[in-house]
Amino acid sequence: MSSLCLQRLQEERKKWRKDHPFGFFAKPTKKADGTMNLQKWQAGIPGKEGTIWHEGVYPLTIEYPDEYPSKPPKVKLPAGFYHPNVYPSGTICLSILNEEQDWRPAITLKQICLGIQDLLDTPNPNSPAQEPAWRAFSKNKAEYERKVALQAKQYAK
Amino acid sequence: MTQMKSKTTPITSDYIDDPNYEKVHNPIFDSENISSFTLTEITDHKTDSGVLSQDSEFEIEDFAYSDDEFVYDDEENNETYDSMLSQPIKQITKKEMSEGSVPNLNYEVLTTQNIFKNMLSRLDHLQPVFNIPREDILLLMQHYDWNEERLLENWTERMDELLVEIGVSQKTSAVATSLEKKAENPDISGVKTKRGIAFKQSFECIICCEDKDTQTFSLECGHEYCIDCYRHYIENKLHNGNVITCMDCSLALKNIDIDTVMGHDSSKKLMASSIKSFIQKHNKNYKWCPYADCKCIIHLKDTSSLAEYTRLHFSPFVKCDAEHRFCFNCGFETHAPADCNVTNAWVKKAKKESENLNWVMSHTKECPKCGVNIEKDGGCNHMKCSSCKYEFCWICEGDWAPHGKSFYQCTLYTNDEKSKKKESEDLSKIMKKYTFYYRVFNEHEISAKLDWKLGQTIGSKVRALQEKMDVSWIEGQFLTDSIKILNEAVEDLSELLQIKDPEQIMKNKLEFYNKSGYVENRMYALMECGRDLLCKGICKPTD
Repeated sequence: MSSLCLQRLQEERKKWRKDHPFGFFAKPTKKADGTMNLQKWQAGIPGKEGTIWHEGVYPLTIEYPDEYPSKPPKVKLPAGFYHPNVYPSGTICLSILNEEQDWRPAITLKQICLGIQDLLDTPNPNSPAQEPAWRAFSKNKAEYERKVALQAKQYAK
Repeated sequence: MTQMKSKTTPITSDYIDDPNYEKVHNPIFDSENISSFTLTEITDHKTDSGVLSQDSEFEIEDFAYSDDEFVYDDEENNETYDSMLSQPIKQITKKEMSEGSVPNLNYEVLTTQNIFKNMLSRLDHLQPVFNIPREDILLLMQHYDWNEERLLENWTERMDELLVEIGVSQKTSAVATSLEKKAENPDISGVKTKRGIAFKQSFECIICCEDKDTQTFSLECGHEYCIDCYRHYIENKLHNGNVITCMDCSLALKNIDIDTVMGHDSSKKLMASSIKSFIQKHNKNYKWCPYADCKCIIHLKDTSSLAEYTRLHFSPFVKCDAEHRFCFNCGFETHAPADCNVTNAWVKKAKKESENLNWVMSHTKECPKCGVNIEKDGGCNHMKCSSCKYEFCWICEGDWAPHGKSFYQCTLYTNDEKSKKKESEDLSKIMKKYTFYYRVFNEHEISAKLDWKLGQTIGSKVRALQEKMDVSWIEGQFLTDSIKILNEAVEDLSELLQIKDPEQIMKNKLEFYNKSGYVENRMYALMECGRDLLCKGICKPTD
């Protein structure tokens, strides 16, 4: 692991502990030997109040490559997550997480988490990543909302 | 999906005036001059074998590689052989186009330096039109893939927007995106900072989060970071060939900024990778020489003639400055008399044994534009080649544009039942046939390597000859000419060239000419008859 990557991640952790948005959590995972693995985090994104997502807290895994912060982390929801912009593998399709698009080294963990919370309720139908959710979202809103509510219950707080 | 499809605009086409870059090359020779015996030989076989089955790989085994028929001192052909030797040499080697054959290939050989120079001169050209610094035009052009027409069109329509979009200038309005939270950096709001390096005491860089006395760098946007972080960041981006932006917003770093930060001419690296991606995007007109470590780029201005080559089973062979000959169509080395399809089928077949290829074949598709192998691991059918940026549909492999919003259903796809041909062939027979041809192919490859070695020895002989006999370089050229032909077929000629005595070599000058002319003719005859077989559809690849 490069020292820049490590340094920055330590600071991200410090900052997060000092201040993070309400209802969110994020922490580095543990390696097999019990030490902290700063390059792989687990986080939880609460659905926004007043939306069909609000009941759940959605688990994220965040993996930082060695080239971080030049390159963005890989952020995943559980495989099979129901959302138009989430690949079947759980990988999230979001421009700020794409190196060729809007990723900038200055983007922090907090911005990423808030960005994903935003994306939950405002999917981008022009960049679909899975068929079922995309189809329902563009053609059958009722069905979409029912499935989302069901999923929210599954990940209930 | 904001990236536009690039129209091929050869940036180099109208302003290279150095005639040295112009090469007119004509790979096709007058077939009338070729002695007729080889053709008759083959025609006979052709009629004998009657209708050949379509499902065999290469239906030429009856004669193509049975070497005896192609050995030129074959008894029955001696007459033709002798009469040919008596022909004046010029008539044999003169390269003419026979009527009704393919058009000339008009191409130029470039290097990345040439292209870069051309790009710079293009900037000088455009400077009066844009009336902004050259560095800024460079950014615009990079963004527009050097498509001047489109850039100019957009430029006249919405100049200011464009400058912001490409990161040349900042937004004038106070609209801040969600990422530019001014609350987090209250010190930068409103104040226009100077572009460049500064020295700060106990500066806290929010990228590496260190608090130290350090040099910092920032653009006019005021997003200031320590120089180490910037170096790290730029280093990572240099090989992408894209415009590098500020680490927080989309204001672009110009080449001069990159050099300021990195302390040496790193922007050259960026330009080199930018040119590479330019070539990749315009790969219809530009091709890298496929030979190892060769830096030449072939630029074919007019690709319309290529279709004609394919139709007539000719191959558009080009030659780079390092004398490497290759096929512009498929990128393989010269493969006459086989055409590109046959060559491709063969190469694939030869590689098929490897598991890797099997995996690639079953899991990937080739990009319909640049041919790079693409694996689809999720998402919709809308694919964008990461190599040439072509946008296409995974199902029908056609252009994406007509698909619009139907991300998961391709209506343009018609299931081709014919492709599901039954596999009823006798496997062992095919295997046997394949091994036979593979062995032949291998033999040829080995002997080609040996020929190359021979060429090297002869080269040194030529130099020795020049030294000992004090002949001019021009006079010695007849030998080097022979060498080139030797690369294709040599046996007889190589015997002659083993003469050690320099004086003897000069005496045998005519002999050299005759032999080499003959060898050359044999090669064309072979090429022509192979092409003939392809044209008549007698042999064709089934892969």
